[in-house]
Amino acid sequence: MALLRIEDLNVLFKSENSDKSVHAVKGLSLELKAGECLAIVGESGCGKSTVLSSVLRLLAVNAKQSGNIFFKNENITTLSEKELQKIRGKEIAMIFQDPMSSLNPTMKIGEQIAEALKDVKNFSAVDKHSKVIEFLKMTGLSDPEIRAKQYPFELSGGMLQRVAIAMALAGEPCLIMADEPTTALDVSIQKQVLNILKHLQQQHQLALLLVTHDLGIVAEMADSVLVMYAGELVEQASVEKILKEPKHPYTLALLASLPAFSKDASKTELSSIEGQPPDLSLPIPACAFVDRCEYAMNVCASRKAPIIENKQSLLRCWLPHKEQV
Amino acid sequence: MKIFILKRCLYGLFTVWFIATATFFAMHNVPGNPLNDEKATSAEIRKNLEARYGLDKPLYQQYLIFLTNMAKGDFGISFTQKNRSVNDIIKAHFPVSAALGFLAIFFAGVGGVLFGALAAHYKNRWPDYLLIALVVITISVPSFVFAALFQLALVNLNLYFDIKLLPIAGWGSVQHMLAPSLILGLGTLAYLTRLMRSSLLEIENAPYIKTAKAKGLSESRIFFRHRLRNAVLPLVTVLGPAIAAITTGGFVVESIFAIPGLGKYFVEAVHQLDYTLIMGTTVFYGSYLVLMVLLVDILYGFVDPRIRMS
Amino acid sequence: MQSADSINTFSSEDFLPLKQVKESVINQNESLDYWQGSWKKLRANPRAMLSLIFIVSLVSFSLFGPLLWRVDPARQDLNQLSQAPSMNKQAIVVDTFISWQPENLFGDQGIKHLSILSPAHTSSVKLRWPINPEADYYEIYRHEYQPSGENDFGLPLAETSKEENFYEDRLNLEPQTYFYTVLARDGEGKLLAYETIETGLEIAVSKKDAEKHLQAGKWKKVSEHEGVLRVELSSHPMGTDYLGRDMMARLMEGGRTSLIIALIASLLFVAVGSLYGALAAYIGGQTDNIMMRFADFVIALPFLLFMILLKVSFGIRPGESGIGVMVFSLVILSWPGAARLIRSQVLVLREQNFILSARINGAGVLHILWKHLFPNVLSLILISLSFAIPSVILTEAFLSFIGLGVVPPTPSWGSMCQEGIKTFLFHPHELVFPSVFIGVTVLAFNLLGDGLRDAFDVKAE
Repeated sequence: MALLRIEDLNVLFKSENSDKSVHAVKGLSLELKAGECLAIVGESGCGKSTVLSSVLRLLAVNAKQSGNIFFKNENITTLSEKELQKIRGKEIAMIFQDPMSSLNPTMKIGEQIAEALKDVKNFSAVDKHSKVIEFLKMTGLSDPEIRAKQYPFELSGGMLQRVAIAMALAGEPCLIMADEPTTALDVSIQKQVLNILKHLQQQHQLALLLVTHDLGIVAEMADSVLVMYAGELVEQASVEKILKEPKHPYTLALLASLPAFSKDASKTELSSIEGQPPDLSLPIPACAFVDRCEYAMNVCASRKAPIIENKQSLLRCWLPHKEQV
Repeated sequence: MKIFILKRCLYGLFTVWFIATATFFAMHNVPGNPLNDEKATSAEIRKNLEARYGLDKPLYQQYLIFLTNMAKGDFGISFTQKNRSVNDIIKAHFPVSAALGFLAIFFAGVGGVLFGALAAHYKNRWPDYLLIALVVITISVPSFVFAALFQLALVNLNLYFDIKLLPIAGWGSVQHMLAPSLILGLGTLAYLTRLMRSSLLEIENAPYIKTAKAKGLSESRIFFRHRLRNAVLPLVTVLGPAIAAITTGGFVVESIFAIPGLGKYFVEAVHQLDYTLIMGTTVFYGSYLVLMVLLVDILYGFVDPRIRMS
Repeated sequence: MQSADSINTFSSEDFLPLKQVKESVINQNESLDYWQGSWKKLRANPRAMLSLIFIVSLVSFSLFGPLLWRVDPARQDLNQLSQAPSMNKQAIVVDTFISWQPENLFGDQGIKHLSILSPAHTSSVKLRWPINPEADYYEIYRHEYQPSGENDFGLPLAETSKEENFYEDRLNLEPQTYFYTVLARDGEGKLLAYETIETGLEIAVSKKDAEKHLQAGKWKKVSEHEGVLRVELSSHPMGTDYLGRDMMARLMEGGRTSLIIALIASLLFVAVGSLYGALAAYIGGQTDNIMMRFADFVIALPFLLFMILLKVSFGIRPGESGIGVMVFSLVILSWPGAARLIRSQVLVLREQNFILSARINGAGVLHILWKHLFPNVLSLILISLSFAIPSVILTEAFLSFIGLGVVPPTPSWGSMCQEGIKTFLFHPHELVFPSVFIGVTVLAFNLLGDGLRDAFDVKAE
């Protein structure tokens, strides 16, 4: 049974000073089982972060979302704001990209974590404090007692992301959504934070919905991968399949741009995908990738390919790639 | 924090010295140097002046005497009034100005936060547009116009209700303070309203507000604990200049409402060319403003941990 | 979304490699150069454009207005003191004072009601009323509103004995509507009866004045009826002040004073500040540090106090305007703001390659400042100028208002306000006009500044 199921999610951003609107997510569906890690992959601006935010209805006021989102078989899009507050943090927690800006700069770290505690009202101040320390310890942060009394600007990025993880854990959720959790960190810290996240996920049997553009992270963390392009699903499969047998030209191109996955490791030059993702406020051809696709055919520009399901993999392309990486 | 306060104090002291020096040399620049002009004053005052300011000595010694007196808190003696020291005048009239100023700051602060929050809450709807329009008008029109309009309104209201709602001018009771301090604080109120609105709206989209929401906090908690608190911080930084604006704004308001404050007295001193009084009150005012800015700086250090720690 | 196509509708064409023009989806916006783009953005901003148009018309009003409205702003029209805005005002020509001959007015003479002898004008109003046989004396009252009853009379204008059933009012009459009430009281002062009458007053001018002005062509003859001559007075579309000077002419002249002070002072202090800031940033290091510390000190000086202090310092005595000193003081006290702004921008620019290459090529400091830095900070300079002007206008108004800026007789909007507030309760237009001019001008420059800031895409500090 799926823990989280998104059906036909559409998100439209209305621009404030013109009637242009940006169709950021188009008809996206996905499923996530308890304890599983699903990674959403794509270039920046492809709508992957928007998907996360729309689950907890955290989008800005100018966004319009439609489609159904089921959590534990309950359609949470129909919940009132008050009811949703019981799910936010307590059932589904979130970790954001930039820990520096996603923590309140004028509030002590301990206080900010305490706010997120489950059943916070039933705790005495002492209990609250010991709980906060407990969660900080879980993330392997040194001197949690001191850290709890400090302000965000006194900590490094890596430490802050641990705080953010502790904050996500504090509500004792069963699903954590992480939006590029390591992008803003130094490369040396990224690995540590990922390890903690992975460790905690396994220890607490958490489901993890991970948004990233880094296929290295995907290989390490994810059970299955969903590749998005211009707001649409282009391919979804288990992590092995995606890495070894990518079917969609876009997935292939993404992999080719990574040193470890490059076809020819001796090649010094990494391939990059030419051009830019399309402007989502303009009309898009049948396949959004057509302009940048090496293998584009006439049909790609005129007709939209259906999503084809094959052995639990999903693919939207007229010309599935055969080659193995 | 101690180092921070010490640094600010030292800087403040330097500023006061700069103000005093500028004042001294500005006054000695007056053509014909009335301070040394035998005809300008009566013999008695003349004698006092010479003793107090060392007028018979060379300029640099006069400067040193002046600085020493200022440092001792002795602001000099009046040039035109017999036996009246500037300290007496300040003692008699400054409390009035200060009371008026603080009430004005209070009105401006409370009003600014309140109206700013209202405007932000009704963003791009009619209450917001109305408040913005009022703010723009208030900032564009000189304060004395509002003082005049307010007095006119008071006259008519008092006539209409046939009772004295508020006195139109004068000094003595709390009622006397209300209208002038509101007028005095009006410009600052408008400025703070605009600042509060934009600061609240900026924070509305801050990532940490999204974090707070994602934690499942209630709307009221997010507003009061996260948004409001952080939005008020930038307001504290402009409090220093606001106090300066309000203090000097007192010159006009005090004369329109016939309030016996130091501002009114200062303007009169200038009209009577009471050089020593001008010099003394300028240094006093300057030091007062520097002190206020210093207090605001320290206050800001207390409310914003980022400043305190750095 | 396209509906699911049936396989049959595909052709083999469809699966041939796509040959297409690649740039179709890529950025289609034509690239404009910086100034053109900014101008285009400014033009699209209705508030900024409206402000710009207003500013241009205001400057023309002050500069070219006097060419069309040829009225001396210093001339006093004594027949029209504190006049509200009006056109083509008519007046009645009266002889210089000829006392009312009351001898033949005593007694009843068949008068039934309180009446006013026409014409009633600002030189005299003549009242008559029937004799009340029980009355011991009469009280005459004048109000600007209809009195609501016995308790609403206040102080009487005059008292007459029981024989005198007439009164001539010559006291401070204004061309407006009055309500006259006559009370009859008995020997104990008990109120017997009263009657109220309403009358509008014409402006009265003396025969001598009329002859003079008619001859000069300033006034026009309107009618002559039964020996009563009526003339049309000089027009004052915005009224007159308490000395009878034409408000429109004064607003033009005052606008010139205010705008000239504002423009010159702003230009100078923004220029001085920019140069100072640019030099500090360009030289950098310890010099920059010291220069900016000095700027900090100047900012810390209480602004208005020192504006006043400097005025005294340069020997401008009370009652003298000292416009030059005012501009000088404004420059001395206001430059650090612009200096800080420009400095921070130049600090960024300095590190960029085009400056480095110019330096390597041996260009002089001034050459680099003028040729390379100036065009890049021009937008900032324009923005700070646009915000500097309204603040100077307000400063001038404030100082003039407390009598320490531009002082009468030189008109400036601020000094006009200062004069206007004296008569504000009775003749609000004398304060309202100059303050509206100040307010709208300040507003326009501020909106233009906002517009420029948006157009140049500069982040507000």
